Amino acid sequence: MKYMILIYAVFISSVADAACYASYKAKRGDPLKLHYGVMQLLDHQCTTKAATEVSALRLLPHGWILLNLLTVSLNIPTPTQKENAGENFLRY
Amino acid sequence: MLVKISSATESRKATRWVIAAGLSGIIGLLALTGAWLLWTLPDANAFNTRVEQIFVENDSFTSKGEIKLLEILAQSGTSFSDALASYRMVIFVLMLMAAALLLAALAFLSLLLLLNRRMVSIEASGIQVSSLLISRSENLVILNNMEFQLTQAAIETLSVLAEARMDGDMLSGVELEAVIAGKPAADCDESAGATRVKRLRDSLGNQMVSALLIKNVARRGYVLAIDKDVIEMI
Repeated sequence: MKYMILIYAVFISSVADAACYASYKAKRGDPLKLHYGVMQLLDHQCTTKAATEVSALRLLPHGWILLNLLTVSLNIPTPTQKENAGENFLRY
Repeated sequence: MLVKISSATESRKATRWVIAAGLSGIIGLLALTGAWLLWTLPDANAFNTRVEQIFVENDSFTSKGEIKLLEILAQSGTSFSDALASYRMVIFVLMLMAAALLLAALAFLSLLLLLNRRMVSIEASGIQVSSLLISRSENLVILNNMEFQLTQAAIETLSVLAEARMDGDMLSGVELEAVIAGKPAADCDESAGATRVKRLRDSLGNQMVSALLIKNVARRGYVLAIDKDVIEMI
């Protein structure tokens, strides 16, 4: 039983790890503010269309307007992407 | 065949129409230019959208430094557009002043033209009576600031004629004599009325010509009160 739970936990965590990552560009009104960021999406949202909708909806409450998506992929973001996104890495 | 006749009043009407059309044309043109000016100058957001476009079109612009630079570019553009807005205001005010000056110039020009035309017609017609004041108590007639002393009878004749003119009437010699003498028209003579008019003309005409043309300078003599250049002998 103990092993079962452990295996299940491992399985769950691996599912969580298999998330989708989208890098995007967004803007904010006057004076113009721009930002580049990476956000984590659920893996069934890993199409350009779905990711656009979800990320736009997520950014809007914070006052950001989505400009475009650069990449949508299941791969873990590269160190360059992480560095460029900075504080916006997985922020929203 | 009918001959086309143009009168002074007709040409004045035409001039007035031309002036109205010209003025409204100028105002319309200036309004159009002003609207165009306000319409075509870039709005405050033009720079922001341009920078945003650059940001979107270049996928490689993702590093912090590049983004910061783009933001600064947009800000400087926005501050420049503020300057542009103030320029636009200055241009607009200058244009309004220029328009006012232009309109004033045009109005004065047309006024001058009208005055000139009226002067010409006055010169041609000899004397233009702009005011006639009859003072019965002093036996005085004031014609355009010229004072003429008349006899009681002449003043009476002139007054009756003036009253008839105000009513738009015309008087025959008989009627004139009847009104002045206070007798029924049947008892009056045409020649009596004609004589009254003749006396009035003689007296007033004599005084008018001496005031306007043949002047008498006290203790020196007589002189024609006209310009030397207008005299011609045939």
